[in-house]
Amino acid sequence: MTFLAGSGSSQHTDAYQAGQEAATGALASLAGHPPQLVIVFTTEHYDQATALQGIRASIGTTPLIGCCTGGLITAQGILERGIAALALYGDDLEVALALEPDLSTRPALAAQRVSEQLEDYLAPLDSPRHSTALIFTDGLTGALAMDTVIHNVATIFGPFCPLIGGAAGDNLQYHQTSLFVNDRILGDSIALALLTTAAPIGIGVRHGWKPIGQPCVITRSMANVIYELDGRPALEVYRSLFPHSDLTFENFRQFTRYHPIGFPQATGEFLVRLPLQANPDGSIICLGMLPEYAVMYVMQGDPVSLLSAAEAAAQQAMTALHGVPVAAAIVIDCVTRPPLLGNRTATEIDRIRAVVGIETPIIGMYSFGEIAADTGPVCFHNKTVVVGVIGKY
Amino acid sequence: MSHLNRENELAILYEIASISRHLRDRETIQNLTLEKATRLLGAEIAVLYLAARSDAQLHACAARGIRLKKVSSVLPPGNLALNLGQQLLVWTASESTPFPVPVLPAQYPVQAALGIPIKRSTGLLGWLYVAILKRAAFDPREIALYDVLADQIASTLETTLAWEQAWQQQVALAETNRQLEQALSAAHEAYIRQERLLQTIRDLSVPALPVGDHTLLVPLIGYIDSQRAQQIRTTMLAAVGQQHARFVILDMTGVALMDTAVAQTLLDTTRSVRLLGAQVIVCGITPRVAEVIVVLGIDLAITTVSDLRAAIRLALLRR
Repeated sequence: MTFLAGSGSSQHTDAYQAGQEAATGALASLAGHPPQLVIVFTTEHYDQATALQGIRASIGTTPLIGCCTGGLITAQGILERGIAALALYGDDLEVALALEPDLSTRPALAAQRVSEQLEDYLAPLDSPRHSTALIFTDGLTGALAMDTVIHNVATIFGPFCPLIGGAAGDNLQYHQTSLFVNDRILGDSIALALLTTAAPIGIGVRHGWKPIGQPCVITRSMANVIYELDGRPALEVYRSLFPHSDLTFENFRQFTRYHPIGFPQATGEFLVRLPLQANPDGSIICLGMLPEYAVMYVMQGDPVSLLSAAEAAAQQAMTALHGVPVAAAIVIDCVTRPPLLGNRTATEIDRIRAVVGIETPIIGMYSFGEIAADTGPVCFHNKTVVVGVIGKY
Repeated sequence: MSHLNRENELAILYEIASISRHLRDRETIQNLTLEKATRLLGAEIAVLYLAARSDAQLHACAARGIRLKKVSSVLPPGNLALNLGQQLLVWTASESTPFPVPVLPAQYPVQAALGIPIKRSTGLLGWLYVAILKRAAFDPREIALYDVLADQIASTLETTLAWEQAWQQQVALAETNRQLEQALSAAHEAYIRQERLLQTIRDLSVPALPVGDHTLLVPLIGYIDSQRAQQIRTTMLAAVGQQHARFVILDMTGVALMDTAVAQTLLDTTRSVRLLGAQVIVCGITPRVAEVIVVLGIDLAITTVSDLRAAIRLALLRR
């Protein structure tokens, strides 16, 4: 059996041209086989509808899924502006797509609806083939909804259908983003692709953040807002952990990129949450739901730990292939990791590519939250890198 | 799990122990149970069964990692269910299953599973099933954490159930009170309506009708008791005062019977009317009433005529 993949990208300033170039580049490696799925990542600089028209000009009616991102990871390097595409062909590959709105207002219902549209396409448990779900959500409207969506999709698809994906966004301006399924373009929605094939899939998840200092206890919180730590206003306690910093309301978001918070889990990895905003009442809004009455650490990372984590994620993904050659790699990388990595940002991708194979077609997005399972159930992650690889049988 | 240091293990224990702070409702506890079992402790599948008061069975009420409709909905009653409550069951794929019924569909290649009773001294409240697929087995520290989780859930559930029961009783009591108040209110309204009706009847039973200038006709009908005699008195005096009547014709044609006290009241009434400057002309005394008056020896000392026509004529003559 054959499983082929090809990736392409373009930085053309014209949306149509950029879309067409990226898609054409992706198709070039399929050796004439018709693509069965094209994954597309864009940046907010383009008119998304025009970009999709350009892609369509190249791929015809091939199923398409994707989103607008905080930046692109491509074989040509990291692109702050551009369009990237990954085309997949497999002899036995079957693809089903769905897009559902109302992510922020009715997350459970939206997740149920989008999953139930594809539930009948799941590979039977006794089949040699297996299903994997690609999931993209709106990271700007869905900070509160992600956990609900993931639990619902995972419950409907069951534990034999791994989920991999991320939250769409922009270049950290927090304005708006878009999700695409075929020719539909929506914000505040969930895009889902179900891939069923006998080709093995490997997924790796790592963040590289380590706890520092003494733990605190979240003594009052609701959903994604921490009101009190150790019985005192959350911001006051968070600020006291950095007595020599110039932490203000204005620079809070930039500061916390380097110091997220984390919660110990039985798997040994910390669940990381990114504090997004400090409020005048002393509360802190985070990306993703928070466990109530939980012990919390401030986390710290450095380029070395983050690069090691990216490499470890790639190795974890490759291990699951049991030596089968890689057809394609997908990287979901948190948009706030590059600021810490600085001029070593490209090194993170180089380390991943060194593991998955420098010639392996690759596509990736800088995300506003990452979705995948480590050794336990699928989770919504922050400040994490997820690597997915598809084997060639 | 062996990589988990003591400090982090204590942190996890703290989070588990904090479940008792969530005394809200059963649904919250269910969600918390599944959230801790999966996100915190790493199970890929978690199914929570709760005991039903009605049939003493364990019913699947919430699940994560698998649709609820795909798991065994009820665990068997009687001794088998009791057995589930005896101890924490540990299973790995290489062993024969200790579970009395398969919780998951047969095809699920689960690597290891735990069945953890959720119990208090009062009995088995529920049962938590957790399973992993990516790893071969739970290690002893993980199992101990699940045991603590189940104990915390049991404690919280017991308190919540007691609170729910007390709340339901309060709601039932409030409903009974509301129904009683409604019944009382309805009875009071019925009483008021009846009183108004009676008043109307009383008013109609003693009419004071003007016939010509300064002449009132008070026709009496039926049996007159002391209460009605008082009503006649009140009506007559009020009507004489309001209408400045000079003559009151008391027509007793329709009076079937009266006793001494009533006759005396009527006599007093005529005297009172006279004090108001009016004269009373009694007409239509039936032979039976006349006989009673004579037998009782009552001196009416008032003008009497045979019938209403004579009474009106007399009033016109005297005007």
